[in-house]
Parts: sequence; structure tokens; C-alpha cells
Amino acid sequence: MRRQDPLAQERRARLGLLLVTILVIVPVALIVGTVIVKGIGAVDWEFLSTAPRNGLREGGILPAIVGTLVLVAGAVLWSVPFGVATAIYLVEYAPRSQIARWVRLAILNLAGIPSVVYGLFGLGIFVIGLKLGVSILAGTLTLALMNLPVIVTSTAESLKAVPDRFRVASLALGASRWQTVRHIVLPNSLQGILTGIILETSRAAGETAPILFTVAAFYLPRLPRTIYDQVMALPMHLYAISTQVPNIGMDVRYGVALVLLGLVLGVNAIAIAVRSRMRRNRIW
Amino acid sequence: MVMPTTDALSIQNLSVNFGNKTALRDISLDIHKGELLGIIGPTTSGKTTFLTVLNRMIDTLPDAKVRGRIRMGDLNLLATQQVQSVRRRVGMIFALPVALPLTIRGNVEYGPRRSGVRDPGILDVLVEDSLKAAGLWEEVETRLDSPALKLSGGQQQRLCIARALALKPEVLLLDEPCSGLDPLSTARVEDTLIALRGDVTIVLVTNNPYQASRVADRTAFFLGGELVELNDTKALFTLPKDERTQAYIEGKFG
Ligand SMILES: Nc1ncnc2c1ncn2[C@@H]1O[C@H](COP(=O)(O)OP(=O)(O)O)[C@@H](O)[C@H]1O
Ligand SMILES: [Mg+2]
Repeated sequence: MRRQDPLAQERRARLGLLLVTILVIVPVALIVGTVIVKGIGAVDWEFLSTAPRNGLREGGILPAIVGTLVLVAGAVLWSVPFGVATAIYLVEYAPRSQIARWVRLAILNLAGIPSVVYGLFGLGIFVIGLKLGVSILAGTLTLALMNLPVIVTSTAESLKAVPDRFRVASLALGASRWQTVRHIVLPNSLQGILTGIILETSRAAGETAPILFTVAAFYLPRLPRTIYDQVMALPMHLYAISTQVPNIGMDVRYGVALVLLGLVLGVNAIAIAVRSRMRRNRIW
Repeated sequence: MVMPTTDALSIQNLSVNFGNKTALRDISLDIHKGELLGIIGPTTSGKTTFLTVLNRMIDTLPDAKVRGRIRMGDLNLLATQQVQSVRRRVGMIFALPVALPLTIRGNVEYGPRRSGVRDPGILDVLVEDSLKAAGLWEEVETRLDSPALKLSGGQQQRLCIARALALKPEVLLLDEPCSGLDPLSTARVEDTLIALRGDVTIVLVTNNPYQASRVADRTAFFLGGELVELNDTKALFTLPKDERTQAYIEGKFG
């Protein structure tokens, strides 16, 4: 048997792992690079600030930008109160209860459901069942439902990161459970909770399937006025011009992709900033 | 009972189980008002469990089953629903000091604020009085608004005492409060306890019999969840009645 030189082995292992790691970065860099290079030409002030004209062939994408922002904000509005409240109950009040076990099981399964199933569910329950119609209300509720398991999970993790000894000390001083949550646990987990919410939000911004049947419009140049309106949305718009509008310029498609990507990456950057600030401020 | 008002706490037939494991077995003892009661005994003899029953922190341990009666004045301490009020009247200090992630002032104000005290003037007085009583005022007077977690271990432990005192408790429970402290900090905590005795009833659990012999009026010896012996400190250390007490004291004292 040939004896291996451990030093040479170590060098080969390090080199091999480094190459594989670089391979992982390459597609990300290629995607971002391609989108920027091919799309930047189409993105100007008019593109960002006007409505589409002439069957999507001309004009800008303002309604889709506004639509995406409205959908994301609406989804946050519905999912955050329910998600955070559920996480607080699970972690702070009844971690060992039967209901906690059921909720954890439900969340595990909800998180694995494909987004198109949420879309169909939204169509069946919100649009048709509750007669909300194809509307911002139905769409944001559907998105919120999809966000909910992730927000519960990430919030619960942030709450659990607060050391138990603080809870014990607070309770021993005659504080109630709620006072302990309100004055000790939440202030010390808020930034983690926010980071989770922001990351989930940016994911929701890029989803097409949940909004396809519940809120999204192909071509709706005017901006929404009530929560019963339909809206355009960036991922949907990209899909629409790529498949339904013949002969549209490649740069326009990439321009839409670039705006969507910028929106998502911008939101993620905020989350990263919040998180690093949290690490710096952590005092225990 | 001839003079019921002389007892801060009257404990009758107290037993505690965790699952099928017995932590305390049929403990009966009266804790006099204003005394400093020392509790000694090897680890797992039930000392911590005993303290957690007295301020109902035992309620936060999911498997604990408590039997027996404890009277505090007119209050049936084990039966009352007013757990928060019990914890305000019976303060607890843990072995490892836990400063809350707040300012020094925030730590001392924490209890009173949660019980509804809002008046800044009253809070200021409480902060100063409590820190003085805990012997910490001179060291922190100029930096009340800096983070409490920056204090040394010994200072944090005295902050914990101040924080409990701010609630004006009738009884103060301390669970091996000096186990993590150096001798100098230990001496400062002991001085604090001696100064508090009389005004507050103190129950001091210690893993160091010397400490009990130095500061306690009476001392109780726990072993295997049972109260083996309770006597005036001097008598217990010089003339223990039970041979197990004698063995423990001699073992510890060499
Ligand atoms: N939360 C708990 N769950 C289960 N058993 C416990 C718990 N707390 C204490 N015990 C048990 O109760 C007994 C007494 O423990 P404790 O009161 O901590 O003793 P001491 O403070 O004298 O060391 C030990 O046998 C210990 O294992
Ligand atoms: Mg103990």
C-alpha cells in the first residue's frame, strides 16, 4: 500500500474544497451580472415612473413596482401580528403543551407546501369562498399564509436566543409572564425578529404562484385605489411579457428582472445591516 | 401557637417531588421574623428546592409536586393565586448573579415598576435606598445609567440584593450567593446581610458551613431532602445533637 503524504493530502483537500466553493458563487455572480449588463439599458426614469402602453410593448413598469410593494406590505401586515403572537405563545407560555406540539407539526408541514398550492388555496378560500374576488385583499392574505410558518419559526428562534436566566430573574422579582415578555424578552430579540421578517418579505416579493389567481393583473395601467382592486406585480409582469407579448425587446425583460432583483437585494441588505447591528449591540 | 406574629414563615409537613423523585420530605420549621436563618447541607440535599417553594418559583418547574402548608401571616402561601405578590414579599437571590440586560438603575427599578410604581421621585428614592442597603451605592452612584452587565461579579450580586430590596420584601432568600465570588466580595455580601438582619427575615443557603457559623442566628442542616437538625448556630456547631450533623460539620471543618 502506498503511503499518503499527509501534507500533500491536506493541500489537495484544501484546493478541492476551495474550487467547489468558488463554483457555488459562480452562478450567483453570473445571474446578477447578466441581469445587470443586459437590463441596465432599459432602466431609466421613464421606465420606473410611467405605466405600460400599447399592450405592454412600450412605457414603464410603475404599476408593477407599486403592486409588488403593496402586496409585500399587505402580507407583512397580516402575517407579522399572527406569526409573532403565535411564536410568543409557543416559546414563552406553553412550550410543552399539546397545542404547541400540534402547531409545530403544522408549521413543519406548511413550510413544505409548494407556493402554487397556496395560490390555489387562496383562489378557493379567499377569492371564491369568502367572495373577496381577485383583489389585493385576497392576494395579500394568500401571501401572508405562505409567510406565516417562516415568520413563526424565525421569531421563535429569536425568542429562544434570549437566555432563560433573564426570564427567571424577572419572574422572581414578581413580574408576570407578559411583563417578562414585554420588558425583557422582546427588547432583546426584536432585531432578530425583524431580520427574519425582512428576509421572508423579500422572498415573498419574488413569488408568482400565490398571486397568480388571487390578485395579479396582466395589464392594468392605473394604480390601485382600494384593497378590492387588482394590481400588477413585477414577477408576474416578467412572466407576462416573456410569454404573452411577442417581439418584445430582450432588454425590457432584463430591465424588469433587474428592478425585481434590486428590490429583493436591497431588502436583504437592510436585513443584513440590522443583523450586524444586533450582533454589535448584544450585551450578554 | 402562642405568639403567631413572631414567625415570618411557618412551614408544616412540606414535601416536594419531581416525578417519582423526592427532593424534600416532610419538612416542618418556623422562620422567625428578622432572623438570619442559615441552611447547610451537601449538594442535592434539597436546599435550593426549599427556597424555590418559599417564593413559589417552584411553580415555574413543570414536574414539581408540592405538598404541605406554609403560612406567611394570614396568607396560605402555597394555595394563594397571588403568585406575583408572594414573590414581591419573598425575594430570591440566585447562586450566579443575573443582572438584567438593563442599566443599573433599570435593574433596581424593575420590580417596583412592574408592580405599578411610576412616580420618578419615589423610584429615585427606592434606587438610592436599596443600593445603599446592599452596600453598592458608593461604587455605582456616578454611573447609574450604564449597563449593569458591566459590573463585576461581586457587584452584580449586590445589585441583585438591591434589586430584591427595592420591593421592600419581608423575607429574603439567598441560594449560595457567594459561591462564585472571591473572599473580598464574599465579605462585602456577608456585611450586607448582617446589616439587613432584623429589618428583613433572611434565609441563607450556603455550601460553606463556615459562612453559616459566621453570620447565621440559627442554622438548619438538610440531608437527602430531610431537615436533620435545627438549632442556634453556636449550639449546632459546637454540640450537634445528630451524629449526621456532626459528621458533616467535622468533614467540612477537617
Ligand atoms: N427541576 C428539577 N427537576 C428534577 N429534579 C430536580 C429539579 N430540581 C432539583 N431536583 C432534584 O431534587 C433534589 C434536590 O435538589 P436541590 O434542591 O437542587 O439540592 P441542593 O440545592 O441542596 O443541592 C436533587 O436530587 C435534584 O436532582
Ligand atoms: Mg442548590
